[in-house]
Amino acid sequence: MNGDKPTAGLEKRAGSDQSPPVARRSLLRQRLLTLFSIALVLLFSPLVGRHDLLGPWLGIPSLDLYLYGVWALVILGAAWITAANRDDP
Amino acid sequence: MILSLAIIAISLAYVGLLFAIAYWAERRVERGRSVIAQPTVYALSLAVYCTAWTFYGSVGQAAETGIGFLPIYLGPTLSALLWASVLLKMIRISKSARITSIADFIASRYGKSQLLGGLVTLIAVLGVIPYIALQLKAVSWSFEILRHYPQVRMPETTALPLWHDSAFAVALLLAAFAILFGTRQLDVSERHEGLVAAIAFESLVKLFAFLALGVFVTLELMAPDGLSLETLVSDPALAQRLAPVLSPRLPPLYDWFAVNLLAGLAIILLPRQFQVAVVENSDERHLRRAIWLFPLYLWLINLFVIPIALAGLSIFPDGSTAADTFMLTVPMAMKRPDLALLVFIGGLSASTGMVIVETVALSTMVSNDLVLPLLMRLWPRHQPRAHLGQLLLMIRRLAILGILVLSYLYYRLAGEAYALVNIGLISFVAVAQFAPPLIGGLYWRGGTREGALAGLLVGFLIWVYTLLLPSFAKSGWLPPAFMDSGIGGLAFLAPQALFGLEGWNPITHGLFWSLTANLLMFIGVSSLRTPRPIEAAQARLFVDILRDPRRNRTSVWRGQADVRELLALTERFLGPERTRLAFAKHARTRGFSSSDELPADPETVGFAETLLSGAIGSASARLMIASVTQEESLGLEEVLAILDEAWQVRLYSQQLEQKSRDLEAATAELRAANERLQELDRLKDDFMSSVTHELRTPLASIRAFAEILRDHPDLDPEQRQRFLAILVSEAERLSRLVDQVLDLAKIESGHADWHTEILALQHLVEDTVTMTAPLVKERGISVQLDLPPEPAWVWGDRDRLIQVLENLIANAAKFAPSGSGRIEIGLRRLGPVWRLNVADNGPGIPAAELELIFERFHQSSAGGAKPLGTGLGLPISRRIITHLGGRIWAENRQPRGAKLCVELPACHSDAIIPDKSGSQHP
Repeated sequence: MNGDKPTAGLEKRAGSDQSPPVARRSLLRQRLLTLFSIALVLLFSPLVGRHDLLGPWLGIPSLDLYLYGVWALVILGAAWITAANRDDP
Repeated sequence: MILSLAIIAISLAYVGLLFAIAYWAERRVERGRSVIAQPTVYALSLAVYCTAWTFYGSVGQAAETGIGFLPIYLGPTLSALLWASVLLKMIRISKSARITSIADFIASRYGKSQLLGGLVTLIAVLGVIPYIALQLKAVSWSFEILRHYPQVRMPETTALPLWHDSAFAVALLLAAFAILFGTRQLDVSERHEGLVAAIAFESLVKLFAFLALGVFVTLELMAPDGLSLETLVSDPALAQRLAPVLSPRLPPLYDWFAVNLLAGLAIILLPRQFQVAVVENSDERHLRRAIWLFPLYLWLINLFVIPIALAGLSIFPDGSTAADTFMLTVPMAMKRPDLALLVFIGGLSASTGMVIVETVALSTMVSNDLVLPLLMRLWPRHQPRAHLGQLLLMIRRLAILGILVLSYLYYRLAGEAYALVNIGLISFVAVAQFAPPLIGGLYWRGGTREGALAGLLVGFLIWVYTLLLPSFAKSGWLPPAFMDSGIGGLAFLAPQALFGLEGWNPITHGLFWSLTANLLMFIGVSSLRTPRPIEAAQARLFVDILRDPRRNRTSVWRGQADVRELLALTERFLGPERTRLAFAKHARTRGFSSSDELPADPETVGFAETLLSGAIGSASARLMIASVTQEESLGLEEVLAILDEAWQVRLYSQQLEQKSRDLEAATAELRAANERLQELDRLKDDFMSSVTHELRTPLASIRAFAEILRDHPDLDPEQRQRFLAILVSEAERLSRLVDQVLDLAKIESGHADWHTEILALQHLVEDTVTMTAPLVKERGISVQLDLPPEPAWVWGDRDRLIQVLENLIANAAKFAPSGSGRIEIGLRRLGPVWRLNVADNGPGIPAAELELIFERFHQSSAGGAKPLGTGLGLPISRRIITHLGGRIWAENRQPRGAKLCVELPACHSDAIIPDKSGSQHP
């Protein structure tokens, strides 16, 4: 009960002075979130629908190629990110 | 008939194999070697997401709408990227509070409310029963199609008698499996390792079946004499049927987004997904692999959907064969009964896996959040005597049976109706209603019980109105007019064009209205009042679970309790043996020798409540505990004060620990620095005493001879001359000593001036020999040079190096016997260095002194002669050579004599301008 100031100071320090595993974990979350945002742009931008205007490639429609390709890249990216961060999720 | 029997036998054998795997996995657990404690098994068990609806339905949807099936799998892939936060939180909270179902999770978050748990259970059961019915239908259909091989014909739409319907047998078989491996005992963690092992195996089977058919069909499509694409497109009628697949169009962006969102939510909100992802999780680190391995599974199982759809469309161009059956009918038409059977087994895996996990998850919810609360209302009047754990297990078994029977009835009633075919996504929308209270509750502290109730109720009612009732209407169970004009003939209430929102896909429409209303009600009603104490406490646990590394639970309970009564209450559910074990373990972790010594404090009460939560759900557990204790009601301020205090105490203790670690480190550093200072001080003292000692010797002799000269003016001139010469030489020695002390101090302090350049060692050696020639000649010593013809380039300071050489030659001359003495100077290239040796044929250096001679004022006692030097020459030389990156040492020669060696790094001749050094040489 000795006022608010010391408490505020303490919390601030506790926030900025994180122990390394905690920092690594939040970095993992941040990287996955970045990948998530990139995937959102790649899958939901109005340009995605334009792919049906391109012709097929080796008989495979370019839209199919694009969606399966983005999907595979997202999986690869997630595997790479989680492999780079060895400690716990 | 024989074929039917064979298929039945194979199906039974397959289900028998599942029983065996589950049994084997449970035996392994008992022996402490769990098979499911592996991240890959965890990721595979998540694939229970792929049901028969997706196994058969993806191809059907691809044939009709092109890539419309993809969002069902893309959504979960995107959602998986957020699991490191969302799902990790859910797992940690569930482990820490022993939450065993999604109903319990939501109820627990909003103050352990029985009403909320009941509502969630109701929505889940109503939303999922048609979905289970769809699985039963898939089994029955696939069996009916396969048993007519080699004929390809659609099953008859008239219902079969009960005893001929394979779906009924399957339902009963699955009920047996779920009861056997899902409700073996009332467990505090509700984990079923045998069940998960079987599910993971089924995931492998369905993936293998899909890939096998996919590879076969793709090879057929690419084969020149098979169904090649060119021949297909040449037929205009066929080309039109193939159009959605061959030139797919993206659905409107809002539909595309809505279905992705829906599937992304369903992957964590479906009761069976919550069961495998959260409740059955054995180690949160398994998430790390699941984040990419589960999406990879989805990618693989979808890889051949389009080729199979293409093959189906071209083999059955007239449209008489339903696209949903292509998975089976394509291999049948291609005369590959083996592949067809494999696909049948894959479809069986997909449906049985879903049904088993879903019924187990629902049965936990029904027993803990629906039936038990109702029973508890009755108990004040009819106090049950029986062991409550057995009663609860019986309720669960009956719930499994009940859910399967209800699903079967729904399947029989709905038959071929629309209500069954589209139910997959409709079920997804029902469970998506859990998103606002669940995900909102993980990140927002302000939600209240009423907010969650209102949101869920409104969302659910809109789901019924916009999705469930229309599906009934399309099946003919409601007047068709209902579809055009909603209740009371009001056009703007038309269920699939609510408020005039026309032209949307019904799923997108239903999702939009139900989720929007749900979210608004949740936030709006929650904003009516501040959270109650227990809601605030639970909010703290749920929102901050990742911030608190120790995951301590702070009990906000205050009141009076009796440990014996808590023990007795827990025993009624968990049985005496497991209760005593759990309490004894808890007592040990708190430092008591037995559970009898446990104090009736908030921590013990909290422990008992958590233990009970695992078995009967948090809401019922809370009420049960309240029935045997006298709890004081705490105000919000008090609860927050308790939580803050606990938080602060943990924070302070962490900071104290950190500070004491810092302090220890600083102390150690100071101690080391102090020791170093003392060492330096001692060295300085030694040096001072050596210097004064060395200065006193020449001073004493100067003084003695000066006194003789003063007191005896009549000394004969010859003697006088001798004395004067001694005086001069001692004075010279003195000044040399002072010079060298200053020199050494300069080098050691790093203040010496260095003029480094590229030099040839031969020139330096020759110069020095010339300079020292008088000294050497005086003692009658011969000097032998052995220098290589090519210039020995080194990087060094000319004056300093000459100083070193002088020291070495003077040293050698000092020890070489007068008259017969010989000094040999050799220079050789040894790899990257030049080595210079100065050897004499003197008495050599005692082995113990080989290193000592490089210390200040050490004079070799060899030969017994009074040393002539200052004792600083070699120490200075060593410092110079070390500074130039070389080394210097002494060794003895055989048979006699000493050798001083210097090594300096060689300079590459192409890095220098030879003229420069040459011109400097005088």
